[in-house]
Amino acid sequence: MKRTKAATFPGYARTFLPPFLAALACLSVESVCDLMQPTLMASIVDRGIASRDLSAVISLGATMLLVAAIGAVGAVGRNIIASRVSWDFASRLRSDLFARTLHMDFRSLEGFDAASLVTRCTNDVTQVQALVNGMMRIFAKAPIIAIGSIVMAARLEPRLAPVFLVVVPLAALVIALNLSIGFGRFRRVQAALDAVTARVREFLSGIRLVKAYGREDRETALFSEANAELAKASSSALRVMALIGPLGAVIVNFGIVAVLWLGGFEVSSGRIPVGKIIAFVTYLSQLLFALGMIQGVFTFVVRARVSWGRIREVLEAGAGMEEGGGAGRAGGEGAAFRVAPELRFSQVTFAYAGSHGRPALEDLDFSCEAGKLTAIVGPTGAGKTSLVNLLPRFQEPQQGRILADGRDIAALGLTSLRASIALVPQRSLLFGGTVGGNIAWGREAASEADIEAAARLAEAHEFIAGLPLGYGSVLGQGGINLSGGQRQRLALARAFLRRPAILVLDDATSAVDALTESIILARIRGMSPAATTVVVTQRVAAARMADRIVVLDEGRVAGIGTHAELLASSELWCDIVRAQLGREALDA
Amino acid sequence: MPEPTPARDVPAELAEPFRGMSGPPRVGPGGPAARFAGRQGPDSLKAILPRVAGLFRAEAAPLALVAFLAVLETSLVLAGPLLIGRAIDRMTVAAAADGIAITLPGWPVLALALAFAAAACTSAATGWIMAGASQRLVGGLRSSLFTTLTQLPLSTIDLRDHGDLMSRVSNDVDTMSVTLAQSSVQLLCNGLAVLATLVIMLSVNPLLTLASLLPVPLVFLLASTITRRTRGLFRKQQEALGEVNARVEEAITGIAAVKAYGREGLLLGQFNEANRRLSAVGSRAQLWTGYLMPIMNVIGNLGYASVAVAGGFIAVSGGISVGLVATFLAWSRQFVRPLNEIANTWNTLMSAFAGAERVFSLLDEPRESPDSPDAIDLDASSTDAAGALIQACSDAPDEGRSSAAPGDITFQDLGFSYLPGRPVLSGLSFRIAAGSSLAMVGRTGAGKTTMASLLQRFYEPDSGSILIGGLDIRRYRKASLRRAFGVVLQDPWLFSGTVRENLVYGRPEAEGAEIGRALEGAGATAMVARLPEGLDTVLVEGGRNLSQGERQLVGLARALLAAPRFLILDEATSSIDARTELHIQERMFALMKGRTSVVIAHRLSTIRDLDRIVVLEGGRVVEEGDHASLMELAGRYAALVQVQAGGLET
Repeated sequence: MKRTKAATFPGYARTFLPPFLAALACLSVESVCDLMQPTLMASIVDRGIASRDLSAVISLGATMLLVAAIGAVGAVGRNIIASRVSWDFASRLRSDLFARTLHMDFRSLEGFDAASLVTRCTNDVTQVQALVNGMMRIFAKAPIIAIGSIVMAARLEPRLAPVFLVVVPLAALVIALNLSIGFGRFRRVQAALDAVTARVREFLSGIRLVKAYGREDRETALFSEANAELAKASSSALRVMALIGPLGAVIVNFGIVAVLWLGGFEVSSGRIPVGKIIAFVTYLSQLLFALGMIQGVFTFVVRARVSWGRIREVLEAGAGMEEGGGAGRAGGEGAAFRVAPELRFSQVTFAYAGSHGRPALEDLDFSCEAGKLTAIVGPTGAGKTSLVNLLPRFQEPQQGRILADGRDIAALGLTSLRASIALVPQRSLLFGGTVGGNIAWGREAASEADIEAAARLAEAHEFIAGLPLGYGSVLGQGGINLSGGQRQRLALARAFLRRPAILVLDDATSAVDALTESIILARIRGMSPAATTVVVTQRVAAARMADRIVVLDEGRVAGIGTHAELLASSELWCDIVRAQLGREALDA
Repeated sequence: MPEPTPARDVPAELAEPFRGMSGPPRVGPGGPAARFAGRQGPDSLKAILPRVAGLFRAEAAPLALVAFLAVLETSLVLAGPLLIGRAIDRMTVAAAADGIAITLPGWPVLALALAFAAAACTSAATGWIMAGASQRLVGGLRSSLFTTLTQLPLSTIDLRDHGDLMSRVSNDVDTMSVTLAQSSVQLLCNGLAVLATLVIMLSVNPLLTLASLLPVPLVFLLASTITRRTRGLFRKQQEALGEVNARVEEAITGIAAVKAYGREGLLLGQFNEANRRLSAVGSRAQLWTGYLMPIMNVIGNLGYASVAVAGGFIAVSGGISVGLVATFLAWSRQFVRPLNEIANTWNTLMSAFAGAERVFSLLDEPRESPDSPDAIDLDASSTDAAGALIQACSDAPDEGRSSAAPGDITFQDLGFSYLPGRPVLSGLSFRIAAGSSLAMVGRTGAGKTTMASLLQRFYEPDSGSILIGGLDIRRYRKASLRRAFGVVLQDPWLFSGTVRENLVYGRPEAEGAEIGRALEGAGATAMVARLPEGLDTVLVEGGRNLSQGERQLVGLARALLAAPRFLILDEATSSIDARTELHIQERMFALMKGRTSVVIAHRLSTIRDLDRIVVLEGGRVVEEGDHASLMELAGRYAALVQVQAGGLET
């Protein structure tokens, strides 16, 4: 586990290897002290009790306490180090993971589902941390104790050492059995648990549908299937453990029996002092304890391995694909646009990664006038959203360039480019916190008056003022619920507050009624300073308010012009208008 | 002798810091903190205990057997040191007698071998039986939890954090059943071990017993000190973790906005701040818990040393045999260990009870009100529905019936609010004639979607009633009522599986030709044909690999295939372009003929040809009529149309 990590992140190893080794050193001190106890005790028996030497009993007893104290120092040391290091490690991993996620390009992001990304940044890190923490505590101690007790016992009384020749290989066999059988089974348990959780999640998200169609039976059947698999996997894993555990115990315990049996002859014939037998037995007990410990590590290793795999997916997806193919975040030239620029699409072709057939956008060539309103219309799947996603460089075109006032946006720094743009996506995203906070989200320094002005611009002030706490009303879980149209208007207000040079609305008024929509569009046109505005819309009425309409069809431009021009030139536009407004609209 | 730790048992030293943090994925930001609130222990043990007992009764026989075997195993383990001591005594006696005795280690060693073998067998049997019994318990409990989820009213589920619900089904059930069963047995064994060891030790040699007891007060002192220190820290840790989760969730859900507004730096800053706090408090909590085991170990060694020294003194003065000292040494270890484990098990047990409490509280949530015993079926199919319904109505008692036609839907003085005091609908009344189509128009937040939820009885109105065929909808069986409605929402939920599986969701027996017709009707034929595998294209959860418009087409086809009697389209075509929508409409109108339909749409072109249009405002109907009459009225509807048409139609 540690090695994989170091391979991916030499930095992690550099930072965490020294304290990790220090913790192991402390752990070794502690273990050695534990291992010395039985030997000391043997001396008390053989040198003290057997020869009725009280001073030897006392001095050896004092030594035992001293050793225990030294062991305690080691224990305290590794505790301090392990607590610090495992949390520092987790903290840094979490932070790195989060930063990767934030800076990942859209293509990679789309490969993950949102809930799983959250899990990866939180729970999965915790699982790995548990293992790292355990490594510095008990997991490393178990092998040290196991090997140490064998060595100490063999040194103490070589004549009894042959017992180990039998016990050790058998114990090793048990561990190997454990690894080969247990590991796969615990992996299966983990997978089954994930499946159960996934079923519940899917049921909860689709509950309306389930209830509407009365398909509770189907969902229950699917759940039962996953649940049965989990129960089966769990009991099978537990049963294997139930057998292997006592097997290990019986092997070591029979070692004790053998020591007593063989030792009995030796002691009675005076060749081995009895104290050594007692110590030998204690060492075997410690070996047994260590074996049990090793078994307990399983769930940790399995969980951590699964989690680490998921974490690595994110790190690797993010690693090669840092945003900004042309110019990165910091790189690139130029400051943000203060004045609305002209936007020019020059022979732009764009295809999604891994998609076959024709590209999403093909050979687009048009411009959006500075400070004017351009509408993008077209059928479902025409590429409207793909087009606007090119502007903030969420995606990069494969061919062609997009120019803002003649400057290729690919050469601009992402930061300054995005600072110039306010994009309102199809699905309005609100954050936890207050209504006012959500509007101010794009511009922290905004005053209350600014916020209210933006809300008015977005036709949102009226309903916000009607909320129990106005702008201070809290959104989200436990807070107030807004309708789709209200959410969209908050998202619009947030965009307006930024006073962007470029404003992009991706079907951002779909849930707003027509009257409100037209008011908002009229306000955008009258906005001062003006913004170059690109509006994706399904509504003819909205498109008609634009200075220029671009009709997209299957990724190509199927018509450009004003409403009147398009009525004369574009069959598709006429179709759309007729569909929405009826035949008379064309005749007028 | 130390026993191997059971597989399920996390090393105690590690368990504490991660309790409540491990387990399957968690989503909700409120989840972890909320979970921890219960982690300290259940609110009322008295109420929980009988229910837990009732639950375990199903596995009473195996659990009793486990308890018996566990007691047996404990006795065998206790016998170990005694026998070892005997064996050693025989050796020393033999040694003292200068090798005269010939039957050397003899019976104690043989008995020891037997005891070890028997202990291993009982331990294996215990584990084996326990694995089966506990998993049957967990599986059964999970099933009933899931069944509960399917029976809860939507209003309950909408209010809950989904992550929290998920964690109850996965984590809490597990904690509760396995831990509870295992911890109870452990508690029993350890208690027994402590008691028995104490009794045996006292009966053998009170003086050495005293020496062995030396560490006991220290153990208690240590445990209570550390628990006091860490309790608050763990609560803070969970709070900090909740904060970190919330930050991550927020950023990821809103990633498009984050990037568009270039707020990565801000979010990373906030996250790092929360992350740093978590790390600070977490490592402190872990530091304190981490002291528990090593110090316990030192105390153990202390006891060991004191027994060795005291035993040495007594043995030297000839009071006892060396074998007895060896026995006491083993016992002194055996005595401290269970004490420590009892303290640990107690905490685990408390958190398991807290888990049980959360599980029970979910099981206790009020279910959807059951159908009344005399409820009748609302025939779902559109073809012979009228006849069947007339039949059904005439079977039903007369009260509450009006002279309405069988397929009429009537809203009578309907009032509804999600939050008390903030009505969404108030005094809403109108009628949809059987077989006719109706459009609902109104500004956002007018309560249009709410009405669809009320019709399907996902929510119940605060006042007033809804009648179908003159009969209150509460008189119909809920399942039949819901199936009679085909509802297509703006964001139709598609689940993981093929497009085909999604389509036949409402009618699993549908065949190829029917699917084809439904796709045709929804205008989705071409779109599905464009998919790489056609109908067999696998969709991911939520249908994220389709565009919003494409999802709506599939949702529409799915509703059509179910051939519902009533059709409700709630902004069902908002992301489909107007031209495709027009094609759909032509076919939809054919499908809607003879079918009572309600269309909710902002795009007025969608609804202008429908039979009747109602305009909602402030939770009530303000205008009603067909397109022409409403235009003539020159009221709100006319104003809306004018805006959308850009003044063309005046």
